[in-house]
Amino acid sequence: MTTRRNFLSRTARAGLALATLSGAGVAAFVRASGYVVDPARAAKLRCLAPWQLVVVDALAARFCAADVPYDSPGAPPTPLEVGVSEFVDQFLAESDAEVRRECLALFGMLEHAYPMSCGHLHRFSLLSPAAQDDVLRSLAGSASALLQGAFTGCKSLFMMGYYRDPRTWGVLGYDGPKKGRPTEGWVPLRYRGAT
Amino acid sequence: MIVSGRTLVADTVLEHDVVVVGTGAGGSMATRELARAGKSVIAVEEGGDHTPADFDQREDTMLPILFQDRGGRMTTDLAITVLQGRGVGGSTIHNTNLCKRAPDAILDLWTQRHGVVGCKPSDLAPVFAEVERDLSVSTIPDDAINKNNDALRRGLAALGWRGGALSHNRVGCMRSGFCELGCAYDAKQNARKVLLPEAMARGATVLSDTKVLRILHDGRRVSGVLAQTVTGKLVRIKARAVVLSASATGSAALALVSGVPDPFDQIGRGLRIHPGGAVAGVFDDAVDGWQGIPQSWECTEHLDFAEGSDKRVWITTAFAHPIGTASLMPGFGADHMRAMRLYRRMAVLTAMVHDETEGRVTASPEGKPRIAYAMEPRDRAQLARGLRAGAEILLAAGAKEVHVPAVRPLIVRNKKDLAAIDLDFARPHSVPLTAVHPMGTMRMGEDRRRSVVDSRGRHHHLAGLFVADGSLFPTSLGGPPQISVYTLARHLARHVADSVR
Repeated sequence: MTTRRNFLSRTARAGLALATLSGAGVAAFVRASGYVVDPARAAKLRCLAPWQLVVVDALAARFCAADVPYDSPGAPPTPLEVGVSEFVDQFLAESDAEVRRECLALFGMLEHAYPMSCGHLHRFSLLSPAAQDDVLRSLAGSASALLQGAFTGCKSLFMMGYYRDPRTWGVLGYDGPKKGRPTEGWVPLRYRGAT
Repeated sequence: MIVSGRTLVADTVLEHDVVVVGTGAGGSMATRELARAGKSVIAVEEGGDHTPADFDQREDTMLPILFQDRGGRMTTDLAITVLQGRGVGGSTIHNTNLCKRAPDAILDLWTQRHGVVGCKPSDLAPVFAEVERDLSVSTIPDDAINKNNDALRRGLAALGWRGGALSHNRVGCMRSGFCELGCAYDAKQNARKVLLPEAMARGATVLSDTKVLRILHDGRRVSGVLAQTVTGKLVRIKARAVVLSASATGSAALALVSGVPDPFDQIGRGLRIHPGGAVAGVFDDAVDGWQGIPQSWECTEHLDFAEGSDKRVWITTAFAHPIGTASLMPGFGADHMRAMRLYRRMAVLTAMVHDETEGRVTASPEGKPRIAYAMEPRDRAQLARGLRAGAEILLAAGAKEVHVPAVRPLIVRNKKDLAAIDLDFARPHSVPLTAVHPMGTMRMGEDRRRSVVDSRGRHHHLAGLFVADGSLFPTSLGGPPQISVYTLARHLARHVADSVR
């Protein structure tokens, strides 16, 4: 028998479900719309959606920003030149499903939700560089251990994408792999017997 | 013979006396010893078989193939990066060759407090010696100490602190400095090079690219394992004994997901990891710390193995290649790049805690390890002590400033600044932490309520199941574990062989 209490409960649940579904639909539309993506780059993506490429580009630009103007003599390459976003796409495509899912969710959260918690009304990719830095600093210093961990993981991924490229090694003075190079006086180590 | 699971074209059933899960230090040693004993043995490895020709000395290509989770494995709270090997040879392929025996005080502790029988220093000394001969272990000579390690040596000398040269397993080393990305010159005397060829010459099989999904058993005795190749083919291996050597995380996760009897809820508990933080000293002159042999000197001034000691920090060098360094240096963007420009002039030390915190490994429904580890205040105090000591060593060696990576980065320029590195500073999530030595989780001992296997490595409740890896350790070791893992595996393998007579 349908009691009044059951009816109200079922109606409330149905209403909530409908609201969630419609909300999710609107959110999905809003989330993925209004992005301008280079079709040639988008066509090569393995796991990022085109809108996520814009977010990853924005994150790469801040994580790997240079300490000198890019048009100055001897300036390091830009993250775009190095292909940081393409690396992130490939890395996630080859990671296990759980890691991929968590990272993509993190990019969505950073783009759409987290800036608001820092007092910014626009999504991350539309913010000024200074405001984007403010969002990332807030994430790094968050009281939430998980958000701090998310910052660390995200930073490691972007740093790997940037510093994997030999063109960035000039910043460091790093001379790269030795394999295949002349050994230049290195002599194989000899040992004085076992300890 | 090494057979890649990729080459199997159909589901397969195999039969052997013993199946060994994992081919790191413990698994390779167990495989060789069992082959020497005349047993039919197969070792199953989830990763691939990589040889020096594959090692291109680049982090972006090597980290994904040589490390679990492509180098991104972390504790469940994302506070600590846990680096563990993957592939034939396991962590012996990417480690930095450190060879230190388990300290006598630790072996005595296991005997006296944890009911371990037959592993006293005098019991294991001859086995340690045999293992060291196997691996050509010797002490790094003075002329092979690189500038990063020399900074540690000079700092210790200036402070009058205890320390010394480390022993390694390398022969014909070219001092390229790329040990952690696999030795391209085949100078590392790792398990893949030293142990598995003999095992295979004696008839053992290594099946790579194949993950063990379940230990097969009826609740009383094992009957083998069920595995799956990377291409999805199922491999059922019938065996009278199963040896778990998939590391302290992998072995425990496999036992848990397989429903191995565990009436006292011990499997996965007691995880220790030697969590470590780093400090980077900036010198006037180039250090070029990536050049030459990494980790050839150690500081033991703050390490005392006596029970209840408040000196539980082991300090050594930890120079990284660009990606590792970029991940470690604090901040991001322009400030981060400014710090990276100091790369050539940096010497880096790490302080690893001989930890008392007990973490726990559980398993996802698919059998993937979940690592829960919440560092206790007493270990955070040790971490703080270690970071302070590391910074003091670098200052004593002549560093102009010492960077202590943290969410709120700290630059230390004199001893007075060290006070800032306190218990609050040394929090996980505040300080980037890395762990490379998971231990415990399948602890040995004679008390069934406090351990998982007995002193012979035999599971207390499931006949035919053995453990031969770092999971066995009842406590933290306080130093690099590879020699102790090799030694215990060699010591215990005879019991596995006896069980399948």
